[in-house]
Order: sequence, then C-alpha cells, then structure tokens
Amino acid sequence: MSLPEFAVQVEQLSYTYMKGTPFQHDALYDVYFHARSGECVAIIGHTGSGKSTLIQHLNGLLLPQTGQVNVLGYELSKSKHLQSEIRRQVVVLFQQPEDQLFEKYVADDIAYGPLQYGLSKKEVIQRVKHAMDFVGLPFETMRNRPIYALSGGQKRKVALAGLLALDPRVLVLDEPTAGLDPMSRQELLYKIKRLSRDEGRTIIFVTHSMEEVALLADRVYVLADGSNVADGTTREIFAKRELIHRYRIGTPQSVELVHTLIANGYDMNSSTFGVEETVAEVSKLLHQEVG
Amino acid sequence: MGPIIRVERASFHYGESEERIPVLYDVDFELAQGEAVAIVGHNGSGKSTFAKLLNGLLLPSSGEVWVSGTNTKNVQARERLRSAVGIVFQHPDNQLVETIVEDDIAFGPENIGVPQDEIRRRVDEALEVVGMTSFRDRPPHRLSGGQKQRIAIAGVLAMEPSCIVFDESTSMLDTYGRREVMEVIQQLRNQGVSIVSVTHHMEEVVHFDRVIVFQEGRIVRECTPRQLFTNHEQLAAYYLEPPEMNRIAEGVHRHEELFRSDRLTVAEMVEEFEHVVRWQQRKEALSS
Repeated sequence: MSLPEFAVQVEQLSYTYMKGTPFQHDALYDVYFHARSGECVAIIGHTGSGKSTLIQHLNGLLLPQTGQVNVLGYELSKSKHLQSEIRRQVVVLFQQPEDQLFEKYVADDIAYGPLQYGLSKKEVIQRVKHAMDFVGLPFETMRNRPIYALSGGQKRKVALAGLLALDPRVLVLDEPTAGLDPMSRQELLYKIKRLSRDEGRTIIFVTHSMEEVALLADRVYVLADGSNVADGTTREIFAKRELIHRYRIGTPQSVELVHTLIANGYDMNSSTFGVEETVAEVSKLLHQEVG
Repeated sequence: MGPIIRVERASFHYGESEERIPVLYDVDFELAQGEAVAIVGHNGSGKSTFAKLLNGLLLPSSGEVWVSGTNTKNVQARERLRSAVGIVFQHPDNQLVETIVEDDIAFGPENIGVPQDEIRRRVDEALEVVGMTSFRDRPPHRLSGGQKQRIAIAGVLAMEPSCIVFDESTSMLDTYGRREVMEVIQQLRNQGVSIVSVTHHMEEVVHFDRVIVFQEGRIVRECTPRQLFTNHEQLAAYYLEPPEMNRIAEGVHRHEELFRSDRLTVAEMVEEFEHVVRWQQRKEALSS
C-alpha cells in the first residue's frame, strides 16, 4: 500500500462542547494541523488550549462538527464506519495510561489488542515480546507481573507496549514521558525517534517540555484557547521571545539563563538553547568581556 | 525534639509466599521537624511505596514507622496520622472532589468534624498560602494543572499537617506549573512544615536540605544535593543526571578554570558569571 504524503491533515476544525446548552464551550476554533507520513510533530499548549480535543479527532473518538480531518487518506468527517480500521492504524496513548490497563498481568494486557484482531497465538507472543523489549520491560521477568504491583512509570510502559503490539502507522502520544525517571525518559524519547526515523511511523505527541520538542520533533504546533498561535521548527519558536512569554511556553533552564544574561546587558544570541550551545556562548562571552 | 517521622528497618512486599514481590528492604529514615528531603530513584525503585508508608496508607510488611511517636499500625490513631502527614499525589484530578474550590479545601476538615468557623479560618489561610484566594468560587476542573495542584495542596494544608509528602506531584506539570508548586513548597517551609518530595526533576532537588537515592528498594545514598550532583560518576551509577545548569557549569569550567563547576541553579550561574567577569576585569586592570 502506498503511503499518502500526509498521514494527517486537519483543516478549519472547530468543535464546541455541549452545543446549544448554557454550558456551551468552544474547544477548537478553525484549527489546522498537518503531519507528513513518517514525520514527528509536537503539539504544545496549556490546559484549555484544545490539544486534547484535537488529538481525540485523529482516530475518530470525536468527529468534526465543522472542518475536515483526513487520516491516512480517509475522510473522518464523513461517516463512522471507518472507525475500527482507523483505530487499528492510529493509536492514542492517553495522559493517564494507568486507566488504559485492565488485565491482571502485564503480558495479557499487551496481548489484548492483537488477540482482538485475530492474529495467531505465535504472532501475538512475538509482538508482545518485541513491544516489551522496545519499551524496556524484560519479557521473562515482567510478563507475569501483576499490574497492581507496578510503579506508575512501569504502567506507562505497559500501556505504550500494548499500543505498539498493534503495529500502528500513526502514534498519538499525550505526554508520553510524564512520570518517567530521567534515564527511562531519555531511552523512551530515543525509541520514539526510532519509530519515526527508522520505521517510518508517524508520531504526533503532546508535551509540556520544549527540551523534548527540541530533541524529537521535526516541527511543533503551539495552541492557545483553541486556536493555532504558531508553528515551525523548535529554533524558530525559541527565537520568538515575545511569543514564549505571552503564551507561557515552558523553556529549558538554558534559555532562561541566556535570557537573564541578555537582560543584564550582555550581548548574546537569543536563540541559544541546550547544554552545548550555552556552554559555547557563555565561554565566548567570558573571553570577550576581558578581551 | 525528636524526629517527626522515624522509619525503622521497614520492608514491604506485595502478595504472599511464592507470589511475593518485594519492593522495599530494611529502610531506615528520619525526618526532623522543619526539614525538607527529596527522594529520587528510577521507576520501580520503591520510592512511591516508601512515600505511602509515611502516613500509614501502606503498612510495612516488617519493621516500624513512627509519626510523632505513634506507630502507623495503631488503628485507633489512623485519622490523626493522616491529618499529621498529608500526601499530595501525581494527578490532582484524583484528589479534587468538589465542584467549587473552597468546598474542596473544606472537605477534609469537615469530615473530621472541625467546627464551621474554624473551617472558614483554615480555608482562608490555606488559600492564602498557595496564592489562590481569588479562585475560591471557581470550579476546580477548569484550572491549569499547576493551579489544580495548588488547590490539592491547600486541601491537605487545611488538615494542619506537620508534614506534607509530595508523591511526584509535579510530574504532570509544565515548567510554569512546577515553579508554582516549588514556590508553595518554599512558602510551607517558611511556616515550619516538614517536606518529603518524591521527584524526577533534578532542578527541584537542588532546593532541598537533603536528598535520598533509592535503588532496587534500598536507600543507597543520603547527602546534600550539591554533594550528589557534583559526583557525576556515582550519579550515572544511579541512572540520574545532573540538572542542566550543572552540566553547563561543568562545560564552562573546562573552558575557563575560574568558573566554578559546582553551580546548580540559574541564579547561581548568573552570579558566578558576573563574579568571574569582575575578577578578570580586575586582573586585567592590575596587569596593564
């Protein structure tokens, strides 16, 4: 099957909760969003920015009230009957993956999805092994571990493995690394990167952390109050200092350091971020100040 | 005055006999009145289980936990223990029960029969401490993550605890939300509330008196944050990494020896930078 150029295309999407009641609330207004096949795209925004409503449209959990949502070449606005096909290919990891686990044992939970789709037992076991290995849960020691005895971070890994076992083409991840320790977090980010770069899967992830955006995303969309306010590469967004402050986009501490030194009257490149760049820029400045 | 919390050789496991899954082994710990301790360690190292032992939410499989001299196994004292040591969890949504902010904060004290005018006073005070007074009539579900977490803290505070345990309370928040919660923690420390905070964010750890590292259910290190973060070899063995500012300080130190490599925060970095600039300028002036 040939891949469409765009895995996801959202145009002029608006959505109102509890339409026609006194509680009516506009969650999305005229939103656009594009992700090419194999691209890794981030969405950032605060509570109430509309990002959760947007991602629920990507596998048909919500259908557009106005506007178009096209996923893997299917027009989701049209009808409901494509949904089960779409949900196998477009999977969503929600923010509290604990809620997505319902079997008693780790491996059973991960196997649940593939079993539903009628795969052979042998293939299911293979997929479960592969998925557990991928998220960093050792198959032999963890497969019979009861879910209740897992830590929050381990549950998160189980939930992700359950989605990977479906072999999806598009993964939508809502805060995939929240609650993980720094090392697991880096490992997972690296693996997500592999899913897109090496395996050609499309990744759409919601995050609070611009460090993660910098590390992972080809592009980023910034949402506020249900509308698009910016999109581009990480560097393009960091260079917009006014935008960062206006929409309270959480920046890495390195950006905070650079901005403070600039405010104290030192001449620095305002789009500097990350450890290496900041070290170079600060060292250069120290030499200039005496030179 | 003795420690407010004392944990003696506490072990914990889920399940029984062959099915037994050990989580904590022989943990010893003391928390002094007014002290702030950070707990770090990788996922599954036992730190959240440890946090739940501190007010009897979980009881140790062996060993003892004492809160102000009362054993957490004492069933009669359960209510008092839970008031004395409050816990703020990862997802504020699981902790918010009412539809209006101030009702939510009053929920705890109402349940233990605190008189109405006393509840009023406690709610006002708690809102003040977390800086949410102007939100008292709002529904909590429309607040930002950081604001919700501040309301959850206020709810715990209204029980007038002597210690608050934060169990990864900032891990669902963005940098702004985390900063809000850290500011509230500083505020609580000023009021003499003891703090235990389980966290994955090293830039938070730098603000605590003491840090404890958990690994495979055991305490493997106990020291000041600066001691922990400046020993990079050991840190890597714990699967931890220094805060971003410390990595930058190390890097700059390699270019410019004068620049101290043990700096941990943005404020310390700015101060160090300006210090080195002044020092070099003075040296320059003397030699010319």
